[in-house]
Amino acid sequence: MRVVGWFKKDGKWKVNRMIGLFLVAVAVAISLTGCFFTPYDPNAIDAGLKNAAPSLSHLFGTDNFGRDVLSRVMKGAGTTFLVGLSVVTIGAVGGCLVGAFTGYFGGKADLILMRVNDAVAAIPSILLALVFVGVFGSGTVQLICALGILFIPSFARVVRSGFVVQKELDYVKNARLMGAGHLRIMFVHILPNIKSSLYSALAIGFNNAVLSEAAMSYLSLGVQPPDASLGRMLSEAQPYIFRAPWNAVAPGLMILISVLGVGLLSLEGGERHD
Amino acid sequence: MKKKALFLALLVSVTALCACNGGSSGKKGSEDDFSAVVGITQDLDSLDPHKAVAAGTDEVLFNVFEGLVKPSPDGTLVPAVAKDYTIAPDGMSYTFSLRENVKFHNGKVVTADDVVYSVKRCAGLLDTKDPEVVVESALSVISAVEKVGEDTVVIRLSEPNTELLGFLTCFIIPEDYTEQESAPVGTGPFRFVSYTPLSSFVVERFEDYYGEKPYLEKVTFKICASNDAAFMELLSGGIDIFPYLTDEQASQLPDDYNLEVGASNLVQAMFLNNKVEPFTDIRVRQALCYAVDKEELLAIVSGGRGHIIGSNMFPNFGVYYDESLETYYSYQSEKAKELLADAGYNENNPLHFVLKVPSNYDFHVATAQVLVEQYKKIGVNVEIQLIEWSAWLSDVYKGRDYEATIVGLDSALAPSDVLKRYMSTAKNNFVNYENPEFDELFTKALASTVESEKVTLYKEIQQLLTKEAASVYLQDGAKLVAVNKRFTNYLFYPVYVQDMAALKPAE
Repeated sequence: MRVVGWFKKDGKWKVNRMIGLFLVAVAVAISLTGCFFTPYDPNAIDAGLKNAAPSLSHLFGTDNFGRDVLSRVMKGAGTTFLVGLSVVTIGAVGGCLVGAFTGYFGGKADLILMRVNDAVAAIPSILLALVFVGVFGSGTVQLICALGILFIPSFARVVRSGFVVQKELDYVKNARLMGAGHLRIMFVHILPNIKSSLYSALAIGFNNAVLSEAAMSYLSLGVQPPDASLGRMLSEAQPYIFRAPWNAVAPGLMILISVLGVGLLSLEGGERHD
Repeated sequence: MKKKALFLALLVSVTALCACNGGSSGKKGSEDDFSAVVGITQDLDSLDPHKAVAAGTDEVLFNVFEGLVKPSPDGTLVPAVAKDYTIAPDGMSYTFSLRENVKFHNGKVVTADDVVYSVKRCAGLLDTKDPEVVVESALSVISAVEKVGEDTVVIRLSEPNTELLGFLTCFIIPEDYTEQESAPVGTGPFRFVSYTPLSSFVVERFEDYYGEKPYLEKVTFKICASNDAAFMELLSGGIDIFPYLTDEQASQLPDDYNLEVGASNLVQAMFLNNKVEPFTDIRVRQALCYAVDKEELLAIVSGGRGHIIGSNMFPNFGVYYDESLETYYSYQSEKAKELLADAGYNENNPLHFVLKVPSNYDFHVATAQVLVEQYKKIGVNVEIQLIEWSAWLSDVYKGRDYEATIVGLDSALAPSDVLKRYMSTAKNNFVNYENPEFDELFTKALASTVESEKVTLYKEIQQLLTKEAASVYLQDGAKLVAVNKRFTNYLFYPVYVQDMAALKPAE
């Protein structure tokens, strides 16, 4: 019943949520399979098969090195999702801490931290990530750190606004009267009550992280060749867009599926908890 | 932000599609038969030829300026402002007799004073130095430039050097002319007309040129934002000649263009830091040489058009180039594995190194990806690290902080220029190569005044580098040029120039 209830509310099927779940399931299935099995070695080159069109042996064709595009998408999607998840995790944990403290305690610390927050948010994220990568070198780990830090402000704001509202409510006052400590109130009492807005933030954050990874790898600052990521594949496909469009179509589709899926899921994700 | 970026990318591709449809209608880039539009992708950094640093500027200014001698397509140096020259047998002085009645574009006749001034300016010997003038380091051996009579100039050196001629292509400019930076004046076959930054550089035929006058009356160098933008412009017929085609673009060339294939005159190699483990071991370096299937590499990265090299020199050096070295390390994976095993690397202890590649050079990045796969076959793990060009220059080239890197090295028209970086004392010895035998051979070759001896010595030097596997020498890439079918006789030079004076109409 519970499962059906998740898809059905007031007698109406939630089409968005169903499509979203389906798309996410496809994306996850493809990337998970890619961790254990790919039809070909995703990095194996073949001079005789440069830019071969899709065929039965290579469903999505091959790229300019003769590498199998499907295998690279399977492997690359895993990398991209890993980056997306890690970035969101760093952003969410950091954002929760900053948002919770500033929202709960308020005062000067709130003012200062939130202005710092604004400052970080005011700088275009790509630019800041470029600086970060420029200083610490390029690579997957650096990329995750850079994007993770950049994602903190957006989470911090969401969490802070939730805390500002919640801390005035009666249950918080009751908890305080019963002698609960500040930390307990913040993370055991208040945090669960703002999870609906947090879910939306997580979904949007994940999508942004996937697109950021794509953008950064597109600028060849993220995942290092020859390893695949969806962004790198798009970047490498650019010169061949007319002659071998399948190079760009496959990773592009993968990004579309995952981002659209998570987006649709989050559209109504909050309702249940209201 | 990112959504916007993706949207922009989409927009660009749509625009590109439109441009494609409108293109190849047989339209001409220029308004009449006597003019041509050349697409270039780099803005000029200075119109004063002695202040320009970028090779992309020199290649354009070559049409406006000339030196005492100038390079010719076959790699030799031909007299230009000078009528002829003699090199003293001891290699300590060069005597140039000037051609009569060579005129600058402003109508003045070239005098010995102009020549003395120009050479001194390039060598940094003027009393009042302009800090912006780029002093050619190879000219630092010049101790004096003297005018002897009205049409003879003697250049004296502080140490013997018989290969300075390749650097005396430095452009001759009028002594008392101060507007070089806004309206350059030289002696070349074309005279300056106009320059619009980030847009175009226009020249016209110089009617008083002493030599054969060019067929073209007007040449416009169109500065394009990027390689792709230039190619789009070519597809729409706005450009007649485009010298930087990629392999991919070459395969999409419209029917009204010919594809001219020349050499890029670069030594592309995976350079190894000879002073860093594991490359201190010659067996490791040799194994890496044996493990590269250069045929496959060329097939993938340059459509099979490049030229395999075996040492730190490229074929356009003619007699100096030792072609026997091209096959010295033919692809033998078994031998590579044996050498690695001898050096102590096996499946349990695989060789691993970091390959730093400048990220702005797609060609080198592609090469790196192929090498990684080829090395994987002999059990060597290579990790690619893309770094920005400025970081490459400071960390790898100047700081020598790297294990291996891929880059292409260019050279002036002197065999010493391409090889001198392996001298243990050379500032640009970023390979950290040190070999007393090399130093001795090189010093001998540089001072040698007998051509045949020079050739032998330089070949020995190349052999030494190859045998020692100083680096993994890969290829001299192909240079692909699109030329509108209206023109023929596009000439390739062993140096970086676009010779528009040689173009002829196609009959």
